[in-house]
Amino acid sequence: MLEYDVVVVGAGLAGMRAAIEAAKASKVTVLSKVHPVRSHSGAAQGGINAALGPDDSTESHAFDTVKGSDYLGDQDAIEILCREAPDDIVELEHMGTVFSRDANGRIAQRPFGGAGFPRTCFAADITGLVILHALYEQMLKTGIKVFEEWVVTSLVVDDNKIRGIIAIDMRSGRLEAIKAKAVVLATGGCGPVFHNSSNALISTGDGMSLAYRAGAPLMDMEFMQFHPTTLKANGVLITEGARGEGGHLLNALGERFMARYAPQKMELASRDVVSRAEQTEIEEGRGIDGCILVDLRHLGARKIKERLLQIRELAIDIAGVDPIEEPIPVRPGAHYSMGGLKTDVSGATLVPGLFAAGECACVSVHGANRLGGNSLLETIVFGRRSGKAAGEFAASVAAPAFPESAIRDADARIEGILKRDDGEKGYALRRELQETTHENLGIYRTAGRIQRCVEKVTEIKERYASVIVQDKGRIFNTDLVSAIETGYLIDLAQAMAAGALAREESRGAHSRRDFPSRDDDKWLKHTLAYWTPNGPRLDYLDVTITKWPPAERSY
Amino acid sequence: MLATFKIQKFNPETDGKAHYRDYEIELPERATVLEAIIAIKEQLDGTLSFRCACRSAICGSCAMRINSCARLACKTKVADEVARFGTVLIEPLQKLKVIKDLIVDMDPFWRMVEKVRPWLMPDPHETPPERERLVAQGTDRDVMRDSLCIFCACCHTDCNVTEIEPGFVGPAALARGHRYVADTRDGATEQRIRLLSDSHGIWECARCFVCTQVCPKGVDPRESIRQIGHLAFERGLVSDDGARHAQAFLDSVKASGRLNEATLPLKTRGLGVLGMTPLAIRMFLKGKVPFPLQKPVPDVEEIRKIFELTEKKR
Ligand SMILES: Cc1cc2nc3c(=O)[nH]c(=O)nc-3n(C[C@H](O)[C@H](O)[C@H](O)COP(=O)(O)OP(=O)(O)OC[C@H]3O[C@@H](n4cnc5c(N)ncnc54)[C@H](O)[C@@H]3O)c2cc1C
Repeated sequence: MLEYDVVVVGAGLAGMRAAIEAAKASKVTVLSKVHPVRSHSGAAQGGINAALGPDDSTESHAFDTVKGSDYLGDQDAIEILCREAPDDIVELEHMGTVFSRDANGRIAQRPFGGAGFPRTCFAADITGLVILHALYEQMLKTGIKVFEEWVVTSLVVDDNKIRGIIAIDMRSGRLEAIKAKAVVLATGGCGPVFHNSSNALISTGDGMSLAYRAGAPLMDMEFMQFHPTTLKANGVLITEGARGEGGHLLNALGERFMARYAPQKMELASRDVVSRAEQTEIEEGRGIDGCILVDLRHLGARKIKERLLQIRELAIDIAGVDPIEEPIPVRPGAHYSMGGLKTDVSGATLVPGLFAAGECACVSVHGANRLGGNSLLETIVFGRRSGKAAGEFAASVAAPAFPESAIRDADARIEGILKRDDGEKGYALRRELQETTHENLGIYRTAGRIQRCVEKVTEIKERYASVIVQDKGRIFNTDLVSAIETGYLIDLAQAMAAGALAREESRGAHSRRDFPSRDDDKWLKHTLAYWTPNGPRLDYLDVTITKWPPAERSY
Repeated sequence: MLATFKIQKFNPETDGKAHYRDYEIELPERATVLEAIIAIKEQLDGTLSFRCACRSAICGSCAMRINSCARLACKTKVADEVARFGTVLIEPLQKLKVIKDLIVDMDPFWRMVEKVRPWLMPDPHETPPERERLVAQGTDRDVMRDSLCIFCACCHTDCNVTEIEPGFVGPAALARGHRYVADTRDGATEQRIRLLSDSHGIWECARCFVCTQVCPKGVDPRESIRQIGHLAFERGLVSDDGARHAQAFLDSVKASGRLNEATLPLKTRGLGVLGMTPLAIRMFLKGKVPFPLQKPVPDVEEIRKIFELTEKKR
């Protein structure tokens, strides 16, 4: 059996950053269900935050993040994120990452939503791509072994300790086990719980679900960020950088309606604020075909071609609109999961030896609402920290015993799906799931709707027990993988809906029409969801407050 | 819109060789080829296998041959293909081994990319600055363009040279090599130019521009290859046959306004040309050896002026 000190699951920014760090002191490998450069971090457009300028401060970055989080973020973690950001950006630059530059040749910074200062570093609108490539190239240089197109299907936890993982090697179709002293999950987000999300089709919350089933609690899953500007046809993102560069949001009457909702920050208020404003405009009849418009025309062709090149192409290809000539119709779309596996500031989950970083983790630095540009930052800062901690953990324990039965069990589960002929295809179930979350767990929520969602998801889960696939082979069975992924989405939807139903207040991305204000007395706390056979069991945890007592939030 | 598809299928567990299967499916007007094959997989044929991830032309997963041209399925509109060809023919990328249906073994491609040592190699004598390295605005335009590459392998697999010379590192790898040659922060420029203009490097390029034409991201590998060649000449790193071939080409046109095909091999390969004797004899017998002595074209002076002007313009 293959054996490593540290196994990293996921080769996006968080996973590769963790691996590079862990490799300094331990034997490490990375598994990824796609080639590393295909990871969804590459789709990040707008940028990565750090207080670099002499007039900015990490303190101010931290305050903006705390306020953006609607005071649900843990302030000790936020202080670490913001304090360590400048050095991490410089390190990325030294590794070779390309950044757009200012007139002095320094890393340029653009304004982003909810930030008191232009502190988002970027490379045109391909920031995620250039960082992903830089890290991948560092992995090549250091010679870290990657098992590409290996899909992890189980975490092996025995006696409440991590023992390793089991994965399908897509190419051979065989199940393989890897024994590990420590495992770092960096499997990214779970946007496809919702209809038309901005996430990749592969962002199916695998790590979140696998660890949840293995006993690690999920935290704050009811907080799903709806990004204000996604394309109607398929949810593909138009970066916040479009507004950062000066783009306007217009309603059907041609008004910059943000003046009514966030008179100071206008288009650059926090994402939850802007998305709610859009939704209200649309619901009150001032939308256009279910959308509002993002207008970039006044920026001029040159700026658009230089700094917003990718989104111009996407608008032309997908919406048939050239932003140089016409405004782009957009609407809010599911984009980022603030929730994830509960970790401490070293990435440790509640299962010894199991770590998590990046979007699949909840440290929590984003609280109830993430600021744009803070997620890429989180992947780097907490990817690095969890890689280091996992290496140290591995050095402190003996090689664990790997229960042989785990492979047999995993194989039996897969055979069970392959052999079954009577049941429903996963695709139809997934579509129903997305419809119910979209309808009932969207931007505005009420007890009645959430309850409907809970019931529907429970029903879908029961039907999922007899999911079938048409492809009965073993080699590169994407039909099978998709069916397995649908199972992850269902579990996560259950945790989201349960958390949302219980939380009787409005905070950040979670807006209850029946409880329209924030309630710090009752709800200044994190939701924990533990897996049980009968659905999630909820528990709560205090928020860490260091310097900034909760205050009213306006933009 | 009702559209028809002809898709190459191969299941390694049951099929001896690849075959085609036809599908017909109802799609929205603006559907992409990716959306179409996803719909086919979900509704008609769950065994249909392909890679995909981002749906927005940034992950490079869904490269395939669509009506005989390497393209990203997520960036290709079904309606456009139907308007031009009546139907949508889909096959795996060329030259790479098919694993299943439209999924090919990308390993040989990745090995080529690795050959160009794609990571920053700062000058080893430099002490890295405490903060970021400075890069003057505007000097990184080429680096940015090369950085748009998503490693989809469209250019690599449609390249005319990889067709006849599988050792050629190919346009994508060379563009990535150029990304570091052009990077002012890199300290290994000379070493890189040597590597990239070595055998199987830039001089094997046939200058057909297919790479630039098929690139879905506007990377322009041919331009990157040209720039490396230019730097190789500037630094006198021209010992490769390919470089000598280019020089001989230029000298001939400059001297006579014509391409002297009879002396070209001698100038390119030096004494190595003796190895080509059997080929020369066969060509001679077929009347295909060009006459070595050529008169200059009548207006050769005009041509020389063009050379002078372009050299001055640099
Ligand atoms: C369109 C878009 C634009 C964005 N723009 C920005 C931005 O400008 N700034 C910002 O800060 N944030 C942005 N975000 C958010 C940010 O990009 C993501 O949160 C972040 O990149 C996630 O990185 P990650 O490393 O956690 O996961 P990912 O990059 O998604 O990587 C996940 C990895 O896990 C692997 N994996 C998953 N499941 C398995 C499994 N079962 N077995 C094996 N491997 C598995 C995958 O193969 C992949 O390698 C954006 C998000 C989107 C969707």
